[in-house]
Amino acid sequence: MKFTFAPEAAPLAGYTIKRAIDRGGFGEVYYALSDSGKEVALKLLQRNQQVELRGVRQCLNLKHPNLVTIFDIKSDAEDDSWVVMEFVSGKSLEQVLEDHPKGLPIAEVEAWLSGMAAGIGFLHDRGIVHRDLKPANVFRENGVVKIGDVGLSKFITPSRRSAQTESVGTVYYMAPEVAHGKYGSELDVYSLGIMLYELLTGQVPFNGESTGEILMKHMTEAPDLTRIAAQFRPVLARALEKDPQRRTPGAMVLADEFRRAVQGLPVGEHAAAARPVNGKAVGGEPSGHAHTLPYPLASGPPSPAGSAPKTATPQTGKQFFAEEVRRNPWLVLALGFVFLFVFPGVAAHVGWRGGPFVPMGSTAAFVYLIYWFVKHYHKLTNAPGGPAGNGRNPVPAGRSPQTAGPDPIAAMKPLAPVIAVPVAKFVPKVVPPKKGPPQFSPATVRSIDLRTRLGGLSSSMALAVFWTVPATFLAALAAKYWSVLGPGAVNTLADPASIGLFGLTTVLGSWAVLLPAKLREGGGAETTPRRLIATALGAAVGACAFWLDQSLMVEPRFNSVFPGLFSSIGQFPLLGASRDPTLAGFVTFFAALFALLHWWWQADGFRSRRLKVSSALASGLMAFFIPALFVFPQGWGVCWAVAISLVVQLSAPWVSPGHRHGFVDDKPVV
Amino acid sequence: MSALAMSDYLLGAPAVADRSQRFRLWIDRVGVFLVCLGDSITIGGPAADGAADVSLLANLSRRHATLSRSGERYVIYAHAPVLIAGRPLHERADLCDGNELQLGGSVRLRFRLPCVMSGSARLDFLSDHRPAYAADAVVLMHDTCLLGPAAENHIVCPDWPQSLLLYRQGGALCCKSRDDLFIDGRHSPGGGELPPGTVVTATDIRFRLETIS
Repeated sequence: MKFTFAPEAAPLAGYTIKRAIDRGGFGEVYYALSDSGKEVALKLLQRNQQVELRGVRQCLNLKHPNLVTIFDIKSDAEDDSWVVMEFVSGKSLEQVLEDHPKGLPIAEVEAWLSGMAAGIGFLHDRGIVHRDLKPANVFRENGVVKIGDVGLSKFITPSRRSAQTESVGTVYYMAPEVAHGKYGSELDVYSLGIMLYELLTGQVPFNGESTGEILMKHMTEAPDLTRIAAQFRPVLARALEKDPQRRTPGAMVLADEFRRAVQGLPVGEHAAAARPVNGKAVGGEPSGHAHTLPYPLASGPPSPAGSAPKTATPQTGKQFFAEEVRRNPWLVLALGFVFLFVFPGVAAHVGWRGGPFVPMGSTAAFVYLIYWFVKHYHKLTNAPGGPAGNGRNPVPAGRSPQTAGPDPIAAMKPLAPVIAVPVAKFVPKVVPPKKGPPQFSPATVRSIDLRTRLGGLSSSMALAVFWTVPATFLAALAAKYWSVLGPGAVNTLADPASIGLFGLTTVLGSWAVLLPAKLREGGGAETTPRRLIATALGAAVGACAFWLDQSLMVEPRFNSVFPGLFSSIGQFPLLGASRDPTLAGFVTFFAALFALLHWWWQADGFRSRRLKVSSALASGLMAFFIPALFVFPQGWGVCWAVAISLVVQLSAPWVSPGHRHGFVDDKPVV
Repeated sequence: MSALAMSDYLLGAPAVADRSQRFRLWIDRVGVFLVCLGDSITIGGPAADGAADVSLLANLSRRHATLSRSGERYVIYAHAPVLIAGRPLHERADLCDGNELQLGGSVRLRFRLPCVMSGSARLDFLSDHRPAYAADAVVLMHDTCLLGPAAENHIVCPDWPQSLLLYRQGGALCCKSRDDLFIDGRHSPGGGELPPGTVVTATDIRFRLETIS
């Protein structure tokens, strides 16, 4: 990125440029020192100079602790205009969000929101709309939130709130009515709502590949509020209303509603009380409501707010159930268990003897289904039970469900003379997906130096030995009290030899996962080579387990709910005379177990969570079904798989998502 | 310039070499960093004369603590109340990567050794206290100082395409990079010496070295 002025340049008398800060939408910004040492930000206006200057002049004498102060406007020898501004050294909200990919703690959200709302409320009170609110324009210095770039601000008067011919602002935070050339104060509230959503979740509600796509989503798509805690949904639903007239009537009201939601106070009634009375919102802030043109019918194109597709056509309970079945594998599993419980004949027919797993699984499935039903009751019955419907169909707070839908007649009533509004000129262009926390996964390619790699491997292998002790203890407990090893197998793990076999094999299995995972970490997905290596190592673990089995003279009691499709591999039987697994049995089971699962994913530093119980359960599930193909003591197999998964996850180093970006760049030149 | 001694390079006045072995790096789109070349730096509050190497606008003693480098180790000497990781420091202690230091009642700093390959360290400001003259962090430079996009650089420059190395050679300060560098407008592929006041530019990179007198 090239900048016009070099360090130590002094285009403006009395100021020396020290470094460039950034290039904004309207020009370059520099850090400069006055002759006496006062630090300032100098903004050189290049494009749209007149547009910007007009706005900046209006804000020149505005003083508010939450707004970046503008000191002066000056011209240089080349007659270029410069804005001399307060330099804010704190982090921008954009940087803070990059550090918090899953959103900020609620107290932090409240601090940011109240600061922004105070600044924006002040601007609105002075009749000015910011129009370019976005995280990159908001800073926090010494605990005080400051909004920058008020240069884009415009006076709002009824005659000037439309008829803008130029679209400005950043598309992720752009209110739908901007597409129709409307620039009322409501658009700042919308932007604030988008930022509140991003503060809570770490993501913007509307993302896409191009400007056009994102704009279309702003105009037609309801925000997915299911990612927001229930108490905040009405607040967000109202702030992100497509129709500016129905939107939260002011920035301060939005902050107040959020504060009430944090305290667990009802937002709906409060919001109703806060609705503008004679054009004034609670708190004395001009709402802009009195002179807001009714957005839905004011202009030619189909009105997104008037039609509000998702709001107007709520999902039926049946549709919701179908979607859940598609999205939620646990629901399918639970339904499957209940089916087997209700129709035991089916299980018998397919040769599944069940053992203790059917009652255990069915009980768990029933409990889960009850929980699921209670949680989604109002969605299934399509009743407006929740404060915001099902979250995808937000009902504006403070309105009864009956009046929540579009009412064209009511919308038309306050229609002043309809103005032919020029539609803003949007040039759809390809934009990169929303910058922000990149999603790193174990498949992310990154370079790791050998020292770090070996350090991680040795420490995790040592930790694996440590974690195997509690894992073995848990397996022994499971064997003793829950009889998961099947009838007649109680106390199987109680004797020292069995514990030795189980523990040592678990350690070996964990090492067999950790070794290739750590040595190839950062090499991308490479599924096939990884699987081949895992299969070979699995076979080796199986051979070692057999050797231990023979050395320790353990007889893993055979039990399996499946008859097993293969009882031998070629001429090698999988079970011996005493139904004890043979070398072929051990090797086959462990090779299959290692081949069928993405074990390296569980050991990678970029896995989604340090310990994911579902990964352990999935590993156990895989081990549960392998004996359906190759006969093997099922209880032992399941316990080994779960134990290896837990030990691997607990031992392998993990990088928290916020710190991952630092691990994917090129290594420095040394 | 190659024969220039470090003290000459920085000041030309060996008598005050200890105090003067500091410079600022003004880096476009990143910030400003105070780089200290001495083996020992003092941290303290504001003072009209005899201020510490890192003089913070904070309620601290004039010389509150000293950080010394000994080989690859860093030792902190407390001349006034200092806490390390919340525990009071009596006289001296070795510093480890990530140690949080509290000087006086409210100044909080974090000691970092970002790169295992280099003995240079960095002090991050955790509280809002800053030096009277701008600095986003302090680098205690041993032989090398890395600037680049990855977290293990001493100065993290997120938008840089690759890293750049500052290093001492024969008493002079030099830089090295795979990028095509221009030093004060002169094409210097691979790098070169950096006289005081130098501006280094490359694709998406620009910084200036400013000596502190």
